[in-house]
Amino acid sequence: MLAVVLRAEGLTKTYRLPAGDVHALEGFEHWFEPGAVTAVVGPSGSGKSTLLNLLAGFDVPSEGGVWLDDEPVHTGNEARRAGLRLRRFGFVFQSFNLVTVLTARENVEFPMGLAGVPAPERRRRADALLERFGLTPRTHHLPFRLSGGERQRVALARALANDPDVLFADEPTGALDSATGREVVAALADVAAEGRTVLLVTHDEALASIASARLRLRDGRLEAIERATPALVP
Amino acid sequence: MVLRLASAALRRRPLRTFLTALGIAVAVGSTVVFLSLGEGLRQAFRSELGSIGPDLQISYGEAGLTSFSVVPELALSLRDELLAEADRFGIERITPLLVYLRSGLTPTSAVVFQGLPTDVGIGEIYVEFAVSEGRALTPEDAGAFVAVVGEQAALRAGVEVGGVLRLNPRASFEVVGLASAAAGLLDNTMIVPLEALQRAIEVEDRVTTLLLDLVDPEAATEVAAAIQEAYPDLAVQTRGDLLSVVERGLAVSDVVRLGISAIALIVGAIAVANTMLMSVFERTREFGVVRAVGARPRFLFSLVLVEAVALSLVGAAFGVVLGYGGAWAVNRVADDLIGLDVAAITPRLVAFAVAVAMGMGLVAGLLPAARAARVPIAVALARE
Repeated sequence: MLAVVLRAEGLTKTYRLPAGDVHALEGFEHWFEPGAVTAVVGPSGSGKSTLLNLLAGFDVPSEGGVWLDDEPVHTGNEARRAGLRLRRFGFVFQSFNLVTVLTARENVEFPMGLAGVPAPERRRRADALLERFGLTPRTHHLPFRLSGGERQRVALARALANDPDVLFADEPTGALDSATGREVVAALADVAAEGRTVLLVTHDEALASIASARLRLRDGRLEAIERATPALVP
Repeated sequence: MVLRLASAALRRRPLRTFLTALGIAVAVGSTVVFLSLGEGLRQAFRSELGSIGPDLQISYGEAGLTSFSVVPELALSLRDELLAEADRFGIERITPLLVYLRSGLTPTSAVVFQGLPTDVGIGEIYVEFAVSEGRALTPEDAGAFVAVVGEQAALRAGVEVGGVLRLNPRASFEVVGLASAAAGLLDNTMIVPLEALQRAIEVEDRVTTLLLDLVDPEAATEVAAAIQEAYPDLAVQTRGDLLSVVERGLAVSDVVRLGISAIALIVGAIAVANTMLMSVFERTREFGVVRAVGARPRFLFSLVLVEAVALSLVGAAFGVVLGYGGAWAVNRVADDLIGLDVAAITPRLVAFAVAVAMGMGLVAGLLPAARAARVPIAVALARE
């Protein structure tokens, strides 16, 4: 897999409220390292979620921009950004966020269906991903019949469905017990090892320890970049 | 995938889906019943007018749906004038007809009397006429106060052969025969000798209409135009004119009934819109996730619209069934009252009802669909 660089330059998000402007993020700059896990850490209200929203194209910045190699993430209409998210980004959320009425396999197939992948190919890739994460016996189960760890692994399989360049993980272990959390973290490390950029947003310092770089935010500003040899699994 | 998600979403809240579909079913059902009245009347008029013999019908004044005015206004002498020109107009026979409605406080007590010359067989005017009991009128009955009564009319008036039918304090008719129920409109009328009816209602030189048989029925339109030109004060109608006049009247009543139905349909549409808005609100987070993983706004717009249309179509299917039930009930009542099936559910009516329901679903789904498509991802994902 060719390394693709996600970069943010002068990223700023200001909310204009009647009581005055709120600077959720100010002048954030960073080049995210491909093939590695980068953690964004900081207390509540430090701007972590705002940063994730801007990097992932969920929201547009007030100033500055985000690029995936040379392709801008922050410009164009919503349909273009949706296409970018569909083919080049993958997402794992704290509360799994599977489509409750679809089975494990259908959830994994869903982004491929949106991308127009033919049905036989969708099924083959979905089954391969489910097998990779040890979910083959759960293929036809609806999310409510899966444990928290299984749901998160289905979410991870879904995130990888369209072979993304960047994986965003927002507090991926927040709803899991520590043993299950470790499984998910190990899986994220594997994903990064494939050459993908993995961006981990967390306030869990132990989880952040798997990252090769930790971006510490405070009051909407990048306070520090801490580089470390990542722990194998916290 | 859209269909799968839409059907799953509708099944997720079965009670709400059922109640909304029920609301649509009632709206569509009432629309079907209202409109079936027009279809039934249309069918009844077509079959009845088709079975009436004359090629032309002449009455006084403007042609209209109520060709049979309450007060007969046509001078009987016109028959002779026209007969004098029978060759010019190609007239074979002229039958005067006097129609008198004895009104009543209830539909069952209202009676239609038709006065016909006794030398004209009733079967020549009403093709399907047949005597089921007693006898028909004969030339010897001219001027006599005797009547042949439709079976249904006899039943309602509580008379039988040999009984007496009162028209007013001065005149009563002896029932000498019953007309078979198969004769349609005739089933609801009393046929009496023309002269007797004229005397009874004191209009001795007047009739309601003249029924003309032509030598060449194909030339009815041209003959009608020629007579109309010669007698501008008269209304000359071909059978086709009469049907179109009836059709016009029915079209007006269609608009009125459609207007009433529209109220029910609007209420149904509001129910769909409300259900879909609630559903969109509840699924905000799910929509956010779907958008996050790459669905375009258009996907959610289509999803919600498909749900709204599917909901409406399910409701419409039940509505058509309800409509059939309603039309059957209306016909039961109408049969008892006037002996006619006034409601008929035709394929075009069912197609119309389904199309209206579909349109209703589309319109009602637009706002919720637009709202679903506009869900900001970041806000939706933050929703608990």
